[in-house]
Amino acid sequence: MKFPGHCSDKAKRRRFAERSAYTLMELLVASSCASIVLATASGFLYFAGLSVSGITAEARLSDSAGHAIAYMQSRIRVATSITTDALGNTLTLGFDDNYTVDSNGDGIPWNDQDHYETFRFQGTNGTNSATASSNSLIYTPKVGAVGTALVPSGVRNLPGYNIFTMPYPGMVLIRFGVVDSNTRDHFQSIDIQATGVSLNRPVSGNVVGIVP
Amino acid sequence: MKTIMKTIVKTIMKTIMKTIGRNKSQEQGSVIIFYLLLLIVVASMIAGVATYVSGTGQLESRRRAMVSAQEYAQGGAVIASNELSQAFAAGNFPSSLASLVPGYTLVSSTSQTNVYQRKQPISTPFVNQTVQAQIFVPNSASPTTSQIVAAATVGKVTQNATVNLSMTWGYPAAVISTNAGTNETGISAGVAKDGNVVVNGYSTSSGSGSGSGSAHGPIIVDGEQSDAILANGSVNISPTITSIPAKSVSDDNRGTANAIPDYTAQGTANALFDFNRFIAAADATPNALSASGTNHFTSLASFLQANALAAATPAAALEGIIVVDVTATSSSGKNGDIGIAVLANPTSYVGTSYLPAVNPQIHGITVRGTLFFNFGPAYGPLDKIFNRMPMNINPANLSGLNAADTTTYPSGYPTVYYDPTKNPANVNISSKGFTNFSASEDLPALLYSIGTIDMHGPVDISGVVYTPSYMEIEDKANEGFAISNQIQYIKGAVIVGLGLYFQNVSTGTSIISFDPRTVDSLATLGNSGKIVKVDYWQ
Repeated sequence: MKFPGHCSDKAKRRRFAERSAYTLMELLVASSCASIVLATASGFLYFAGLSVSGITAEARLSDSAGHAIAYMQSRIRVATSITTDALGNTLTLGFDDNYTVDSNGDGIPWNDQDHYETFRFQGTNGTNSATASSNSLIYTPKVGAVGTALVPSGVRNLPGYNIFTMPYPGMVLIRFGVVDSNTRDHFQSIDIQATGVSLNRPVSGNVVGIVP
Repeated sequence: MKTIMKTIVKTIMKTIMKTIGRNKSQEQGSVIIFYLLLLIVVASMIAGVATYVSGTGQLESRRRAMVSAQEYAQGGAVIASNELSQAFAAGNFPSSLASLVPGYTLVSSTSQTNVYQRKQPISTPFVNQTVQAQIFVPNSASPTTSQIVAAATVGKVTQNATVNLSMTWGYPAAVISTNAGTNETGISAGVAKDGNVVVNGYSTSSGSGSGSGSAHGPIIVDGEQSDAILANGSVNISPTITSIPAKSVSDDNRGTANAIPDYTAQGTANALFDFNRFIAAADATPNALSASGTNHFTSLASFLQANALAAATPAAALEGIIVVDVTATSSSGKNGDIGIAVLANPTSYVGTSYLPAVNPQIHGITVRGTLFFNFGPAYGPLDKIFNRMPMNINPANLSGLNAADTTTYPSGYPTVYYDPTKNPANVNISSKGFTNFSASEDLPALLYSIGTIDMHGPVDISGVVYTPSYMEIEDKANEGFAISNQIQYIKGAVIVGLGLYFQNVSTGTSIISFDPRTVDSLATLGNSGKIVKVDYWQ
């Protein structure tokens, strides 16, 4: 027999399921909320990514430029000769490999140039950020040797300046910028200006002057 | 159609709702996992970037520390160099390093090197930074080099700076005149005798410089990379002489910071040379050609006789430190020593024992080493003996000399001895109370104790020419052996205490050219005239 008001478990579950279903309106509201949340999350991730990209690019540029300038200054410090080319793109340093041998026969054994090292800007001169991506700063430890990229990309001129300038013998002014050509993170860049002074410069290189 | 679509949608929605309804608890867990994963991804990304940036920052920090440490170390090396210079100037170097405040302590000693360490690290003028300094000095009686190593630590980074120094002649120039001189502007010998330097190229018979100029032979004072003439007094050069640029002359330095100390004041601690040390070396050098048996000659005559004999030996020269006493009783000339007359008029003595038998007009006086004229008490600073004989001391081969090209200026320095026993470095004078000469010392070529040997004939000297008094070098091609286009050539430096008169009014060639090799390690008294100089950094 069947008692009114009573039903089987199966029927109960069916009725419960029918009562617990979302309405279309609920679904639309829920979907809209989910979309907003997802859009917000996506936006956050996108801009966070840009920020991360910018931060890492800035850190990389700073590290790269800092390493380059510190290394150049350390080599200039003990160089026995310093020259630059007419365009100011190549810095050539001379070194005495044996302080007890007078290679050039001038009677002074510690001022020779037994080998030369170069720091060379490779690419197109200018301040353009877009074209700087293919510009680099190459260090060559010896004439004819394979060069190493001190700054592999993004090197550019500072406005109105050569990269290497020699206002006085024994002193070289180094000015360059490094730019990250990725447009999405808004062109991270760093500008470097420094002075390299040779402690082994000739006496004639001792001057008191104003650095231009 | 509409009904069908409605039915389909309703069926799908019901199915979905049923499914959702069945898995409500699982759905809530899935959302949490989703957000957890998202959080992990974002956190990992931030952590990665933070680690990268932090690492880069640390690298930058260490690089800054490295650069700072390098700068501090260099500064410390410079300060230590100044302290070494003070110790050197005080004399008795390197023992005097201990007398400085705070001073240096000898911490290590080998047969090669002594190492001195500063008693306290250098802290001034640095702020919260110290630099430790060590000085490495060759273990020798009179070291001429040293090395300073300074170390500074910033953070965890330590950097060293190494500077190599030498104690060398502090007044590089072809002509060095220490007398205060006067403000006279003339080019006569009288102006020179007032303590000035005069270079006279006027073609006048008197050489007074008052006449108008005409053609004369080259008269050159060449300083190489240094000054041509360095003088406390005036330097007056004939306008006709264009070979001595004004920028190569440093004059009127008296009373200025650039004044040269009076290294010609004899009998003082400031004297340039210890004459007695040279006399001791001559006394200790055997010489079979000398009446005394040594290189010390008691008269010009005996010296000239030995010189004539030496011209015929394989060495073809007297060698070593030669001391000649000029003991004539009258400064006016010939009394008491026939050698004075021989020098003044050599042509009158050709064929005698006072001149070389073969080619006396070439061999003249020839010495390899140092020739020291030790004047007696009859002579004053301006008294002179005329010399018209050729004067060859460490002579250079002048066959390729081109006065217009300084690269052709040869040198006979350093001295190469035919007989090693004559080499001053091999002569022991320690028993006489003097420090032995070392092979590294540069010995002067020609010394006068006072007075002047006025050189009118050919001159070929490599080395330092020094007198505490006045000096004349005049190209008088029509005198003595009257050698046409004779050459007066000095490769080294001329140091005078009471002026120099350098003249060429004939067609000969007169050159004084600086050679730093002759003064770098000059055998001066108590390091007189030497300074500490930076050679190079490592």
